[in-house]
Amino acid sequence: MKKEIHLKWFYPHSIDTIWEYLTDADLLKQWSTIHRDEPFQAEPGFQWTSTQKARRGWDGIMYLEVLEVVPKEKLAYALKGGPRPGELSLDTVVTYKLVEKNGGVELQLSHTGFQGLKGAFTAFIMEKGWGKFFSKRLMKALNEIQHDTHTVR
Amino acid sequence: MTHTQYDSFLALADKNRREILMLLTKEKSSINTLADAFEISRPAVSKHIKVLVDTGFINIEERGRERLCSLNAKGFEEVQSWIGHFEKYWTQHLSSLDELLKKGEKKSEHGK
Repeated sequence: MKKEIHLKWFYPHSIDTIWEYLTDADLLKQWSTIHRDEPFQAEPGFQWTSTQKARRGWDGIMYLEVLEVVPKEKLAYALKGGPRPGELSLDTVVTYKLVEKNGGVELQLSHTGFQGLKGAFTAFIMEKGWGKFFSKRLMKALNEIQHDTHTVR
Repeated sequence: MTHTQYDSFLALADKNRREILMLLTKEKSSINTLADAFEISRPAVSKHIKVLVDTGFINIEERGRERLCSLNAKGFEEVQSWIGHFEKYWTQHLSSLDELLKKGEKKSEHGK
């Protein structure tokens, strides 16, 4: 069972290029749906919103705020959302890390802090009685928690 | 699919509701037994249980005059589906950057 998202993607480009694409407002508009609506500023405290397709329990609005900027190393922002304005049940953090590797850059994206999961899920996972109540399928999913780091490419 | 005011994250965001789920990992309990375990009022406990039923975390079965609560995997699957949704989203996101960089390569050298 997954509690967090960890993705890696290798780009055969210089770290300067990747950092520019991650932080330059004009470049971001060309590839990132999160930055489609408002010009981005890579400065801690910068807030913006992005409207995505609504989903059950979510009105589709992402409330974002830059948390940390370490040039060519790390970019982190808060991502919040909920069923309606003012009710933010989703309170998460998205982090990009840039690692120079094999003449290019490995971009590591993680999306963590799914609210409610930290307490509830950890407790459930630790709880021995869990298996008694859940199907084998779920138990299998639980076992996959060790393998929830995905290499996409 | 029932549309409720609560989603699975909001359901889990409340401490009392998490505690109800924790109690149910130990054994099935009647609503009365659950209510006795909390300092908050019985109607308040009932309301929390309703939220958990609506969001698929709890099943209720009628057992004689009692209503017995047990855990339901559906709520957890819903949370998983949320995370799956974001995982797809971010994968697409990283892929878009890849595509743009490839396009840029063809046209000219970028990055200077």
